[in-house]
Amino acid sequence: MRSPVDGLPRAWRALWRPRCFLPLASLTLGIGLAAFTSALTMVESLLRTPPFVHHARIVMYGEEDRDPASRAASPMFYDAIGLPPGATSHGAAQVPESVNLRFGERVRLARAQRVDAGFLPTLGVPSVLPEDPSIAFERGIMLSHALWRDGFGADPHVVGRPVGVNGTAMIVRGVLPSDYRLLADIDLLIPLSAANMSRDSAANLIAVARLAPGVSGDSVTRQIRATLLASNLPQRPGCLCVPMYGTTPLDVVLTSNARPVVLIFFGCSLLVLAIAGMNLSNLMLTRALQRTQETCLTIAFGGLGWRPRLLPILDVVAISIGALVIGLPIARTLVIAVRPVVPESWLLSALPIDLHWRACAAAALASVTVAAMSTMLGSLRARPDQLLRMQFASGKTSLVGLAQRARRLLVLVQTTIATLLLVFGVATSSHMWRVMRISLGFEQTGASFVEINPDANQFPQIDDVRRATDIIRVEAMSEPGVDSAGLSTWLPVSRGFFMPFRLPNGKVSYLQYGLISPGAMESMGINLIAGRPIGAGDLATTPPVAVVNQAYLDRVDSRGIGGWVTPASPHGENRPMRIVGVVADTRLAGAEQAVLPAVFLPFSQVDTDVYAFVRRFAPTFVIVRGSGQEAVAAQDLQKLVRRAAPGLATGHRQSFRQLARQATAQTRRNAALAAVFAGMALALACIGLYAVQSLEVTSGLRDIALRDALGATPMDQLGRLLSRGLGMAMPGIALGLVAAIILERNLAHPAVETGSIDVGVVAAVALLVMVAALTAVALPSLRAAVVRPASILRNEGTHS
Amino acid sequence: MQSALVPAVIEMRGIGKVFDIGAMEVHVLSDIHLDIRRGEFVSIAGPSGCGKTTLLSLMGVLDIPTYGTFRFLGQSMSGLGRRARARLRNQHIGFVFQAFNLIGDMTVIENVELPLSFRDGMSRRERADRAASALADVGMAHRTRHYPDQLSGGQQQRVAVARALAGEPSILLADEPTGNLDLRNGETVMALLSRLHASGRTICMVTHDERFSSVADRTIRLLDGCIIDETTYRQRQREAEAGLDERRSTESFP
Repeated sequence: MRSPVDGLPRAWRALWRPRCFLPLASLTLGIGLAAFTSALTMVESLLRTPPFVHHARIVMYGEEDRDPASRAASPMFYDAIGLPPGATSHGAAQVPESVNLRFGERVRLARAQRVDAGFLPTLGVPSVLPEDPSIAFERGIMLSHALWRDGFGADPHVVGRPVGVNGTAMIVRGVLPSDYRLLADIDLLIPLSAANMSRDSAANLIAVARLAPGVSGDSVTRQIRATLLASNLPQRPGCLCVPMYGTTPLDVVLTSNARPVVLIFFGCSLLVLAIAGMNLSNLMLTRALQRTQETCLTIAFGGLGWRPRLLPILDVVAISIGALVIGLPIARTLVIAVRPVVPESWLLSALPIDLHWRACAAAALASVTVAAMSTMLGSLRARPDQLLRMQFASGKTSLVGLAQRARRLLVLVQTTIATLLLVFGVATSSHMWRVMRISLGFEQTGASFVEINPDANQFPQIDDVRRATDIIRVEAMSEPGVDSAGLSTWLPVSRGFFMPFRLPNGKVSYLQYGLISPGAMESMGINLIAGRPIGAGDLATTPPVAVVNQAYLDRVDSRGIGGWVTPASPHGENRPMRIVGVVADTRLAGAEQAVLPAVFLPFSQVDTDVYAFVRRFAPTFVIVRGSGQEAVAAQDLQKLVRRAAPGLATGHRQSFRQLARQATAQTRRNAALAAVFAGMALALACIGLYAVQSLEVTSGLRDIALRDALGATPMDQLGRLLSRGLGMAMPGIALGLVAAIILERNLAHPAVETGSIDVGVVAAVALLVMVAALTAVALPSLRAAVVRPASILRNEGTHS
Repeated sequence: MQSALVPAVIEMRGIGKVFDIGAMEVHVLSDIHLDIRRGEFVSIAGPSGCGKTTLLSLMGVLDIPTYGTFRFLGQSMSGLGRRARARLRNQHIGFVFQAFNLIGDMTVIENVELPLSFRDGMSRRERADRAASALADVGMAHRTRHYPDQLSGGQQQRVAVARALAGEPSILLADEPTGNLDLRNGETVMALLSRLHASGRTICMVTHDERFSSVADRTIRLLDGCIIDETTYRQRQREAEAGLDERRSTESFP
């Protein structure tokens, strides 16, 4: 008896007959696998593994933030609670800020985060290099792995080296792990001491606690609220109610934003994989049919056993390997393409998102599973004796009809899914086009900006900053091609900085707050609606003035020019400012977000104490606008700042176009992802239609030749074949559209911002799928329409 | 009855057909000179692979000769495009195949209507009337709503003949019409063809069967792609009387 190994050479040859089978099967599964693997990588990277030891036991505590899943703590609250009951350690960090970092001769603008001594131990983050215990916490900084690698050449002796942070001498205490990240990318951690803490009740701290094993977040929440009720903590204006305080697991905080979007697209990828599996089933079904005669003969000659099973097993192995070879590079390309559009707030690790071995292993498993299931689905379930009787009774098996019905059913299902995904993609894209057309309220062309940090050591007094801003503005204006220049702590598309103001009704509310120099509004390209902008005549010695936006008039105080704006800050004198100008509204966090009331004050009139607070949390930008060019080149802008204020580092230059793109980044990302998955689904459905039409046409060649003999013209033939091919696709298209309309509410998840599924979307999808289906069935139909009838009818004996 | 006064339906002069099979050329037909006149019943005989079916394909403009001149109803076929050839087949040629070639998912009447559906300007009712009439001619009027697999082989072939006749063709080309039938059904079909010939139809039939070829007015014998012999019914009668027919058969097909 021959062993299975003896059959391998023949099985190998069979694998390549027909020659297109293996590439087509591998390609179709490879596309499905690429979608699945790339989505799984996103799930793995964005939803599963924060780089902290026992991260499930870490909670963030404080009051509910603007983002309901997040929490923020005020310094007062943090002090009042101390170590939360049930926690083994706790720590706090401020939101990251820009600092002037000097090491050796180099000065750069770096993102720094102030953290207290308990922060890193609570997260369980060790230093990559051994820390020097002799360095006092107040003088030590922790470098990020990226800064250590790029700025210090991964020097293993960097611990103990002196650096300057905003002009203060500090010492490198350690290096953070390469994957360290908490909500934002940073270059270094600097000490947060009591002196750095703000004195007010503004919630600007990230407070974390590590709970003891067995302690639940809910019980800690109850105890925090009890502590608050018992304390005499002053209430923050506008918001402080005990029920808003509590804990949220860090895992939830880190993944809540990404979860709905990532899971929706993971679902899409599973649908794409399902379509690929169905395509493969179709191919395997055809293959099983082609092998029926061989199987019958094998049975007739008594060759039962391993032989009929060897070929499908080899098919599964070869298709799986082929799909992995094709799918993994496509998946990696997809991941790399998506990486830049993943919002910062979604990232769990500082390491770039990339294919992980776990995703690759899952892809391999999925590949083998889908290939094996497709082979099983595609194999003909008939008893050998039935097969034999059918084969020898009529020269062909009645399984042909069964296979045809199965093929059509698979085409129906995959066309339905592809149409559904396409509706999702087109609705998301049409929503994106609508958003892109929304005016952001500022002129995007010809302006650019860089960030600077006039720190308290180099510019201890507000007058120092005023002088520096004046010099920078004058220097910038002297550059060729610059029409206007100015400085601002506010940009049209950004989260903004909020300060408390007393409203006309006596209540206090937080409003957007910007310090601007003369020329800043013009440089930002924001239209003045009424009055005048902040000018060079608005000095510390002249009456305080302010400019507000239209939303301020609409929602806060409609008096406009001549009205008064009264700050309610715990810092400074809170002198009322007279409104001298009204500017047009600009959208902050996104094109679709509501416009918020904003108040703009001149740098020259800001109170010293207020500025000392503001400059710690609000970045400062140098903005230039030039005619006929995209403002000033990056190097010129940096040189200009350095000339005006030596020792002041600059960030990367960005154009206002880039800034504007941030407003639609989320919408564009969602539309791009939806379009990619819809495109993949459509491509796979087309491959499926193509394959089925090819088979139908090949098996119907005798009919085609006969019709030709009876006088059908090539156009008659083509018309018939195309209508039959489209006939296969039409029910699926109709079902997909109906399903999309029924599922509209589920598809239109706010996180993905799917637009409404209106008549236009349905018509566009129907047209698109029909054109794609027509294209898919056209090629085999065209080939068949011009067959030589004589050669087919000559062999009619064998065809019959 | 081959008279120069009767117009020719098919005229072939020096026709040859060469197939390229990879690097090899196969000369299937060589130097064929042949006329088929209106009202004639011609049979083509010869061993397997001698080119009978290829010759029938050329006559039916399903294929194009490699060389030679071919005229159909006096019109040269050279340079005729696919569309024009399809129109010509539809208007003037009826095919009957060995394997019947009825379309399985169409009823009998739909199968017969099929060639008429390719004609421009013919109404549905006219198609149905002509199909019904053709089926009545072949004695199958009672099975119009049946599907091919519900009919016997002989019945299927009669439907195929009806389909070929429905378009009122100038010539009926039959390729081994009895090849897939038992003797009784074969005789029925041949009787049908004889009746059609008697009513003035022009028929060209490829057959292996000597008994059925004798029904034709004229028999053309092919060997290795060449016409080696051509006898009329009268010649064959005379030869039969002289005992020469046996000898002709053995000489022609050694």
